[in-house]
Amino acid sequence: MATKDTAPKKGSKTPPVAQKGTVHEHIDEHRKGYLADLVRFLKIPSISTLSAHKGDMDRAAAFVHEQLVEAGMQHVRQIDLGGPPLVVGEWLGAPGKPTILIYGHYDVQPVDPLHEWQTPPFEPDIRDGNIYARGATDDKGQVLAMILAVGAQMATAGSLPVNVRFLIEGEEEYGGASIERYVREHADEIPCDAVLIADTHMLAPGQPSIVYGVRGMLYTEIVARGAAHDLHSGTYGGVAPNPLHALALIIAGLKGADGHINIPGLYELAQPVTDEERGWWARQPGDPVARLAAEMGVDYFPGEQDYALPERMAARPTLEVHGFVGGFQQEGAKTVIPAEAKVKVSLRLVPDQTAENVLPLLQARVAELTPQGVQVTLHNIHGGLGMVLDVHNPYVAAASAALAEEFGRETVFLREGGSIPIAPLFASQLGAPVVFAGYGLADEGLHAPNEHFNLDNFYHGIHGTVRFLHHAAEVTK
Amino acid sequence: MTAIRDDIHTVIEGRHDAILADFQALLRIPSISALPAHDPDTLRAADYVLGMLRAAKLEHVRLIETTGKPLLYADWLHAPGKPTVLLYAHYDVQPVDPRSEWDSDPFDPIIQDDYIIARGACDDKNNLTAIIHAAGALLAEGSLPVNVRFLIEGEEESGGEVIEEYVQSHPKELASDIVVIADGGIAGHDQPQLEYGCRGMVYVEILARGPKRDLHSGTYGGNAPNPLFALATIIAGLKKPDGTITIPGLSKTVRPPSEMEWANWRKQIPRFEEDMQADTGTALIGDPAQPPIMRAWAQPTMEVHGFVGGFQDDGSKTVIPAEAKVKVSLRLVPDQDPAKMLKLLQKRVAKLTPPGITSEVVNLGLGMPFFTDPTSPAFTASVRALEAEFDKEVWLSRAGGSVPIATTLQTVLKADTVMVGFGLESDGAHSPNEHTHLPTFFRGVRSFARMLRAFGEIDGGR
Repeated sequence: MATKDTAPKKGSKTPPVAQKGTVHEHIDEHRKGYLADLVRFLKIPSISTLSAHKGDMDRAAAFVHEQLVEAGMQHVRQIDLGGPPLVVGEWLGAPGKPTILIYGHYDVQPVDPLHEWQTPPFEPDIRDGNIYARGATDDKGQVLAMILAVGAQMATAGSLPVNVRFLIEGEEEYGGASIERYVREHADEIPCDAVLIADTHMLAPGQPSIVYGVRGMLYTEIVARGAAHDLHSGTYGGVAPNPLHALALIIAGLKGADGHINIPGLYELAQPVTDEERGWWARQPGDPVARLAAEMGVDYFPGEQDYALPERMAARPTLEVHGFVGGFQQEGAKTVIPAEAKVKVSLRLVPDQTAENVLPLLQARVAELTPQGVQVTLHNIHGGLGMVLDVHNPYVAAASAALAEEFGRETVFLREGGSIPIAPLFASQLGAPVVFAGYGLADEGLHAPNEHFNLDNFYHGIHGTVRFLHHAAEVTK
Repeated sequence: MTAIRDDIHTVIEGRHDAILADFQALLRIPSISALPAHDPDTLRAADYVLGMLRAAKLEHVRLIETTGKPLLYADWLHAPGKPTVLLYAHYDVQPVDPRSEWDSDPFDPIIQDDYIIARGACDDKNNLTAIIHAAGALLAEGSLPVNVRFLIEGEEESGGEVIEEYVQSHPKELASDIVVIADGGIAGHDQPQLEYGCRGMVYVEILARGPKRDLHSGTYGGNAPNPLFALATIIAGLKKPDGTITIPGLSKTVRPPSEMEWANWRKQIPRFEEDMQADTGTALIGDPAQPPIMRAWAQPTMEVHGFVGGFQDDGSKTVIPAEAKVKVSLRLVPDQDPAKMLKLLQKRVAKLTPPGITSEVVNLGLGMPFFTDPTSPAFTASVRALEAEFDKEVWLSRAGGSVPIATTLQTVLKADTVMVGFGLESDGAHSPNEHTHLPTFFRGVRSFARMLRAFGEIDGGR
């Protein structure tokens, strides 16, 4: 059994110093090489939602493959699931010890609007201690940190304190349908005791955080059809149905100015928040309002004013509109009434809301809001389950201790507003708790221009993952 | 009323071959103004029209160089004491795509039954040919009953800015009492129609700004001001599901049609609604308090043309954009003033803007509504002329769209303005297989001749 390398006092603010000959010293000595690996990874424009980047998906998968081999993993292979390959590898040389399944993704979001990037999204640039590139924090920096951690442990000790399996997918940003299918069909081939996911963020710089809940998601496209073909608004304006206007009416009817979602039956499906959770949120260090205002660049938070901000951010459902398609979008003035228009709308869901039970409610409400002369169809683009984890399980405790050690500060428990649909699936299919130990920061431009990852946190991620493996080894199976 | 088989018939019929030859020659020239590759062709068309003007024995025939396609001018001013009539048409045409949907070469006019098929056949080479030959035929008999000026443009289909500038800066050179816009349409082969009004316009972009950067809807959804959502609520707040526009004060200056107009429109309702339904392929919607013809001709509209911002490609991206825009236009009717209506719109948008969002209404263009009194001497003369030709009551119509040159000529020259033309809505202007009905085309030539004669019967001139 591995011993703890350092054991700072609970609540200490002093980061641990790596002792000689340890894996942590090894990590500190190899920072330059790790950074070079990260730069190489970030240079690959692996945008899974755009078919033009298919070749880049293969390159990114090959990079992950190579890294897993270098880390000493066995049976490393790429599994063709129809889309970008799933890269897997394992090390099962610790009999009697827990098996940790490590999950991450190598695909990234699109980069538009490109002109808002200060440096090109696929030419990593280091400034102010951050590395700027698409995918830096979501999720290449974090997934690479976990691989490098395992590699460092193998390099220094020749073995791991626990068994590990890696499952690194390439279509997380695209829906993740393939890995879902894979996990459902092959659950018995990937038994594990816990799942480790580093795809979340910390509450604040230096504040170790464990996410115990994620929201689910329902992403839809509402298509509205009016006249048989595009019309001129002079001749037909006032007598022809306008699908764009119909969509605006529908959107305005789905959510009130007060942030309340006007879909009958939606809120009734949500699990109530516990007093324990409200207690954690109330005691969260820092001023969440000021922090959020700074991150978002706003001075007003719309939404349900009757709920505290942390609760609204992660434990209440949302409805957001992401883009309207149709009509005239270039410079200047064209007086068209389009025959057809679309709008992209998503809901973030809290358990027990699911894409399946919310979709009919949304459909009924959209039908009710559709004005005369327009036909509307609702397409379910993708859905994902949400999850609220039982925090009183030993692997969460192990992660909490590992992070506290690494950052020298007590770990806090959070719910995440975003969706990581694979997590609830792991929990249900593998029967294992899912531990989110993330190293990103909320203001790192996830899905936005100028995405970046704090390099200190990149190295913390490597150290912290090693610490977790050692703590997890102490859990009695 | 009896159809008149008179000297106009005789005079025009004697020239049918020459008229058709010019019409076909013009149709053979692919004068597509929107495509720079066809610039030499538009010049060739201009040159051909100059030849037609000269052959008609008009005077001061000249090509006016502009920053765009040239304007063509000619006049005949030897009818002292009679009104001066400015005749407008255009020699350019629309592009032909989708080319594959044409059954014949768009620039090799073929005649099938009574129809001639080619790009420009109903918009506007038919009317252009007709006005020149109408004047030419009368002039060949000795003299014209009125003074005339021709002003012919070559980029109506691609902007029309140069003629606007020219008219604004040459009011004296173009001084006229009556303007005939020979670019209108006819309701049926035997149903004459004159247009005396069209709607004006306010075109804006509403810009909404929320967070300082694009945000992820997972982390910030529900608490971030979403500019796209704000714009949706603004649009929803500007027009109700039933089509009622909710901009306070907007309708205050709307002048209802007169008894005389309404009496004429009522006869057009079945035809109007049938056409509209056929064109749109759907049921007609809008403010239930007004019949469709009223909504299209005599009421303002608000339409949304496109949203910009966020994610528009295939698939799903969960972004809350920092900024978004929406393109919106109002169509205006007499006596709505575009600048004042813009202010009302701006005020309403400000009021509808939710907290956390800053909005701005950017003016992309204003256009005055155009309206000529259908009881004015020029207009009633036109009505008499068409009634004589068709032996049928003339439909008095307005157009829902905007015809900026009509507004400009009317306001700059302070002239009564009539829009007339002899193509049908179903003739496929701007579409594949554009065509014109040849007997109706020749009726057009006669009608223009009759109009000139009727204008000559109006007392006084300048």
